[in-house]
Amino acid sequence: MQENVRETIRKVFSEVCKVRVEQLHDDVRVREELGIDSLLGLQLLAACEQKLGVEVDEEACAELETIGEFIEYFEAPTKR
Amino acid sequence: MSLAGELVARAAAREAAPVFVEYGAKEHRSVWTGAEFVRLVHRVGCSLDESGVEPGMRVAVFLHNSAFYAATIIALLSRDTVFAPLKLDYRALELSAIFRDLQPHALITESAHREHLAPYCGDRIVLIRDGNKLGRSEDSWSSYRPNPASPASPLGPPPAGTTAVADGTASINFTYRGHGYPLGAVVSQAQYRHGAEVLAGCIDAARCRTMLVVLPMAHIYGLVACVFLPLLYDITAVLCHSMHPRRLHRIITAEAVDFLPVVPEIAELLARFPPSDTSGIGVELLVTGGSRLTVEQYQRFRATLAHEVLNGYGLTECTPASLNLRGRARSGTDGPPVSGLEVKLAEEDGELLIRGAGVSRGYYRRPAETDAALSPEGWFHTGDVFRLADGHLCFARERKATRKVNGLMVDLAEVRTAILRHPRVYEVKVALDGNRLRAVVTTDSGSAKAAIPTAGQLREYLGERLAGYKIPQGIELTGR
Repeated sequence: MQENVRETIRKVFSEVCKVRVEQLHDDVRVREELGIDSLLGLQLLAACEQKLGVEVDEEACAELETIGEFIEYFEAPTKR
Repeated sequence: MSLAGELVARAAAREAAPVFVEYGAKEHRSVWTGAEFVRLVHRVGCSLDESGVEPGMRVAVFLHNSAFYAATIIALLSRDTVFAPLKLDYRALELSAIFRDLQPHALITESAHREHLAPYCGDRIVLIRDGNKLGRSEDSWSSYRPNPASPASPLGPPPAGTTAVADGTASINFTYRGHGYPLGAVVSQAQYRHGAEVLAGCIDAARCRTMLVVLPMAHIYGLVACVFLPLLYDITAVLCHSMHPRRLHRIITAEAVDFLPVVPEIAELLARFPPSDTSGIGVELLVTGGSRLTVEQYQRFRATLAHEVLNGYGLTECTPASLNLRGRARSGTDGPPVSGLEVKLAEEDGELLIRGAGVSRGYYRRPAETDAALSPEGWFHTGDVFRLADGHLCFARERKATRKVNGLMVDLAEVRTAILRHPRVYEVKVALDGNRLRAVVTTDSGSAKAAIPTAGQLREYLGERLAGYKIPQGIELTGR
């Protein structure tokens, strides 16, 4: 399950940001390095929720800075 | 009756009915009845009076979308001040240019935003919003010492010459024409009233009961469509602070929203992520503008989001300028020009020229830019190229060096200027690629003034100088 979350999130980021999956390491900063703005961020969030079948706290996601933090957040149900 | 008087009277007449519904964090819902909203306008007005805000003063407004925003605008209108609705996103480059031109007497902002505006407060009246109250800041702004590393440059002198603020002027609304710096369009009360009236006619406002508000009130169309229109035509305005499609779908259903004015990009988000528990048409009427709506999108939105889709065109200097009519919409067009507006296309390139009472009379303290935009006969050059098809305007391209990113205007020269200020940048090319801004940046490897930035470091650098939506998503670095 957790491997699926990791793969799904990296795939969504790759599709939305037009970046190869191999380049999406855990320490990549989503805003500074991928240039994700608020609308793109919503698109990412909605796509991750849709593919993983979960609903997450939008305000909490706004605090996440790296790909690794996104993966960790979606992997840990207690934080949602 | 004055515009402010009419807005208050209409709200008062709705007494116990909801005029604004607000969804905040965690989907917390609060309701403003007509009577409560009128009391809020009165309370904000008293705070303005007690703080020394007087008729004729220019007041910069930096607030989040809210009923409080609407009340503040009405209170400012009722006191014959000239307000300037400004984006909270603005950073050093935009703020320096705007404050240099506007030279506001007072500014109103959120408590969380006060430090951000500290370099611009000087000896101005500073009013801070705290919840649903407005209070004068007791801080000694004169003791503020700018951080030497801060990109906030000291304010330069205002530009030479003036464009007078005449009686009846409601606001100064900043926009761009590709000069590389913002221009303050002078907007009259008559323009706001005209905008709301023609919009009401096009959408048949009597058929609308509840609208969803996600458009920014800091934009002129946001004010016309989401503040003046619902108050003047008895429509309940439901404000949502989030644009997450799941939240918006829930609110549309819960509040029985029948009118949805959005930019095509938000409609696209709603269409791509439909609610999981239902399908089919969500609202009666979808009104789009701000950026291009394709024929394919028009058809898809009609099939999935709304019974009717009306697309239109407007700009800060005249909004709306054209809009399709309910029951007679034509896909692929921006609709016929609104009533009371004369239009023609320039013979040489098809630039849309407009003239009428709904058009701004110039740019504040920018006579040269005003002369370049307004002909002696009163024709305003929109900077946008159109073609006409059976009386309907069809947008073709921008003639001016501005582009729309998610419905927000970006001045390419301003972005280029911001990037060029980095000490290791030698040359920059900025362009729109699809719906994304891209910059090709040539760094100056021969200089030892600072390290050559990565794309991420350059975005961080720009983040302190420009609104986030203007920072290129794609940055390609090349050596000189």
